[in-house]
Amino acid sequence: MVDVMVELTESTIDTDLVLKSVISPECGAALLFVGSTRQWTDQLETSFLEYDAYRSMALLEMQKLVEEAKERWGVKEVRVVHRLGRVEIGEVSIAIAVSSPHRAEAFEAGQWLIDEFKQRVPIWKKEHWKTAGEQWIHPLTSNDCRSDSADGNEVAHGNRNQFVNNSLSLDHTKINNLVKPLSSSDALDSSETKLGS
Amino acid sequence: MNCLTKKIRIMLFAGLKEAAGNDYLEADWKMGQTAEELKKNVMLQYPKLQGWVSRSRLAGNKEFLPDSALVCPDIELALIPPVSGG
Repeated sequence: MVDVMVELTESTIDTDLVLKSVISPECGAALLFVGSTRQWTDQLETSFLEYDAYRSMALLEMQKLVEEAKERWGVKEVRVVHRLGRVEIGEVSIAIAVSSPHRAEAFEAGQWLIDEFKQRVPIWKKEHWKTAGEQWIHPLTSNDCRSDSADGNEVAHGNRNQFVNNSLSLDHTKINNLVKPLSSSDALDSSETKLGS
Repeated sequence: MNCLTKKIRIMLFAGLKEAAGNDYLEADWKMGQTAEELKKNVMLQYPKLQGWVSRSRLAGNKEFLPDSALVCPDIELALIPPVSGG
């Protein structure tokens, strides 16, 4: 079981399969979180995303997340799959499935898993904008954008500070006018944007 | 070269890799050097990457190293810029 709890793949993620893999007779609750490529980030249109990873470390970090979630919430089964390479609009980039005897633990663990994933797992996305070139996404300070819970939409449209790759001296380059570029999961975007706001 | 210093390789990823124009950089390791000191060293050696390196975490053998951790020169080292998976 251990070797199939986490996975990196270049292929389409079969989300049904991910969900089914955690369902067991001991569990009355199973939930699935899916992150997919969003087309519009305010006025900016995404053409597609590209994901890169430090694969061996990413798998280890994902494994640790699964073990921590099981320990903290007593959830029974956890499966985390992330896609790498090119991901088209509307396609799934991440799927996290959690099962537990009762639903509360599954919800809490699921929220924690995707939040922690976004802080700790060495995977990076590159936005290929339709009209604005391409851009690696690096939230300004990983640790600072940690959030204990989703904050709803009020911060989702704040500036999202980040630095980009098109200049060697980009350390002071922040794209303050790019509002909330990127990622797949709305719940997470709101916690990330907290940093910049 | 003596055993108190050594050239080491540090892997780079994503925007940091593109900024450096290479998927690794070479740095000078000194005996007793902590992760934080090694990062500072790299920033001095590669001033153009200073902003990137200061925002990146150092990983050793696929684990994030605390600033105070002593760096062993023979492990797999990587600089991890802020991550954006999901």
